[in-house]
Amino acid sequence: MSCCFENTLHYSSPAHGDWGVVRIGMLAPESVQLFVCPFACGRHGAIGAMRQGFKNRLFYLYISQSDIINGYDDLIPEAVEEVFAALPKMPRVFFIFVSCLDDLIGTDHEALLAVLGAEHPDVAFRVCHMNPISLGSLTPPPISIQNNLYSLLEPAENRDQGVNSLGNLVALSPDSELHDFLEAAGCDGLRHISQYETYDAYQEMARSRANLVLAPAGRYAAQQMQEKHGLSFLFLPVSYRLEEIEESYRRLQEFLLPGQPLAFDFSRQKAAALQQVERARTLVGSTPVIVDGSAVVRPFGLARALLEYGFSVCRIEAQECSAIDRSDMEWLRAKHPEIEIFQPQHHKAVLFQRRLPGSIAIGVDGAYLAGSRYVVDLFNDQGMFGYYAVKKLMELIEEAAKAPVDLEGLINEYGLVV
Amino acid sequence: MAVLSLFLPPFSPDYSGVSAVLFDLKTVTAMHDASGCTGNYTGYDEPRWYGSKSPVYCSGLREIDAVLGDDEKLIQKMIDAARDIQPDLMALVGSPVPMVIGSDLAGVAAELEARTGIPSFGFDTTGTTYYDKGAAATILALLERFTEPLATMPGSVNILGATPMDFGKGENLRDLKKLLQDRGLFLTACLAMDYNLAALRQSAAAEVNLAVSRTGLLVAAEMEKRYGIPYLCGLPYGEKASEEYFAALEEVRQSRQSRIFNASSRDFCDCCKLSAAGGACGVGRANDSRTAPEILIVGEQVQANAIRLALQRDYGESSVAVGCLFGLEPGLALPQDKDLKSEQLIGQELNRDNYRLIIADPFLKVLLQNNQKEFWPNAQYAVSSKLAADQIARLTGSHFNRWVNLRIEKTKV
Repeated sequence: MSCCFENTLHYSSPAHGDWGVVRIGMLAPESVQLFVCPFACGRHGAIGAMRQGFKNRLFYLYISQSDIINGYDDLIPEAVEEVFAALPKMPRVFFIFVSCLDDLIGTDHEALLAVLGAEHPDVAFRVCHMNPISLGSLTPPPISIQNNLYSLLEPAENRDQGVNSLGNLVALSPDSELHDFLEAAGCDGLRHISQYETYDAYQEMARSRANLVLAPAGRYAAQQMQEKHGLSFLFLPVSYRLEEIEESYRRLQEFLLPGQPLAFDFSRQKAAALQQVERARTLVGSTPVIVDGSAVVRPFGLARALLEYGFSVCRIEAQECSAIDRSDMEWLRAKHPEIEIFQPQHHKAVLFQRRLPGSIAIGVDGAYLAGSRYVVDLFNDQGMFGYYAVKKLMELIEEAAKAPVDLEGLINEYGLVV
Repeated sequence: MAVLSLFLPPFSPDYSGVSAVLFDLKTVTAMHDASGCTGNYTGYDEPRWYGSKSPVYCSGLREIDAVLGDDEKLIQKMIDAARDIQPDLMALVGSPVPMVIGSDLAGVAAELEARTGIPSFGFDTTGTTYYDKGAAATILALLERFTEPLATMPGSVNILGATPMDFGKGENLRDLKKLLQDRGLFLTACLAMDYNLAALRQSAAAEVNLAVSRTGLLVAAEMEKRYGIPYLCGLPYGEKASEEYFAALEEVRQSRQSRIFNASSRDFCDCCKLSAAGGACGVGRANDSRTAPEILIVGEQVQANAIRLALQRDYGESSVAVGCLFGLEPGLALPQDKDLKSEQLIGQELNRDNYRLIIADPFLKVLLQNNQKEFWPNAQYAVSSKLAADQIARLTGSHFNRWVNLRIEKTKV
């Protein structure tokens, strides 16, 4: 294995993409979105929204070339009024999205927000950015949109024993032992934005005692909440290695109950996970396994875990290596130099070299590029954490190994947006 | 001028039209954007993307590149890709950010070509116009570069203006090709689906161009000027209308005079001469301003015109208007036709009391306030993308009659 990340033209496979800012923004209860951009910029978000069933909360103000030249700030308030007029009831949150080009023309967002806020004090207006041109900066769209979501929380007078989960776009599975652990630690539930149907109910998250950041994209929002609410946070990225899971719980214990003995016995969950590992490994045998960055935030960490469990990992599909995955990449380079690293967006990806139709791919992008017939249905660590994640992953691997999948159908189900 | 859209998705933009034309060729094509514009094309405008090996890429434009105008990074990425892909040509496709910063993509392409020797193109698309403009500009640029005037091959035709935005995966085009073959005609090039560079080069030898969309008409008019190839603009939908279409094609072959195959007043006499019904087509009534049309067909203008003609010839429906979603070409329009430039105008037109039947993309149904009107869905990829691809009607030749008969049966039920 060699470090091989190149900055090339980007290939965009049919399996490339994620939720996109529209879908993430829709997590805000009672919110609507108005995109102010050339019409072309909105097509993928709108079609995605139609598929997901929330186009009735998504609107567009298409700007022309002359609007761009003249500035379009003054056009927005009137469009906002028209959106209000078309809605059956007033929203509580109004996201105004601008696109890449706005980064280059200096729209005065603060002045715009002041005008809108004065006119509609009961509506929380936010300017959001669908600006992938900022990828590589500190606040690219997946991070800034999460900050927009949690900026809607107003400081609470009182705290309760709830704990927030941030970063993860889907609520943690109720089967994860993290819930039991938190209960044993005296916490009153793990809160997630998706559980709230109203803006007022959502404010409950402002009363929580702490934030657990389960995916990197939520870290910036947690930092901002720490400043605004004084709410401390702990970054606990999903891991599939037993050692790391144990360490995560130890850190969580220290975070919630500093200096106190471990409140929870994980032996049953750990044993169940190991038992499932054994079952899956026996079934899969020496079948080559591909680990893909679309399935998990830390593909190198997952590859290491699988190798330690005895699986035959042959390839990692990762466009780059994040800081939190670097030590595992170094471990793999030292211990398993035979493992291939492919960049799914590399210009050579379109040549579809080194196909592995008999492999099991964890993640749809890796499956598409390798032509894998057996695909583990996992995207972005959704619902995963702790020993549960290991057990669930092994169940998914078992399921994948038993029958070929309709990959195109699976990709379409995900409804990915680039 | 800014336009508000509350219900419909944005339609396919110009840069998708460019990329769709280049899809079949051995290119290195880079959409000069950050990622989303490429995602529009690969994810929602290109039904052939899944399983393809088409090297259409994203340049990965970043803020610092835009601010500094760093073309060298882009050039180097293109050269690196060309080394591995070994393309016949290269292309750079514009998007909103290059528009704002004034990128000279044609200039960058010239630099690329000078350094690699590979024919290179720059398209200054902006994301503020529709796919047909981009597609037409690309076909014309390819023709200009690769095609020289050739001796005419009798019996040969080009299909012009074939894009997935108008034809999805191309079922109606395959049916058209079959009809041409059945009549002893052969295809030189289908621009721009299912073709290659050799076919493009041969396209100047065609006896007649068949413009099957507004894109095709823009190209056909230019090819007539450059190569003297006459064109027939229209589509053979419906049994009787198809007979007229092929008679018109024969006439174009003989006369060398281009022709719009449409229910225009000029066509009125011709169609009655050609029609088996002889003077009973009823077009005259449709042109009568005192009679408001009862049927509205909304979509791409050439296809909508073909549906109208087939309804007239095969079903005697004479009171039909066309609503153009992507711009109205005056030469293709009848007096009652409308240029539906915005969602508001589309909604107003759909809801006019005089229409009893609407034929349109299923996404447009959301604008109908009166559900008493009959609605026949005919999906267009440029509107509803893959979400309604199963509702792209098969309309070529007698398939049209089967489609209409099925709709009529459903209405009775």
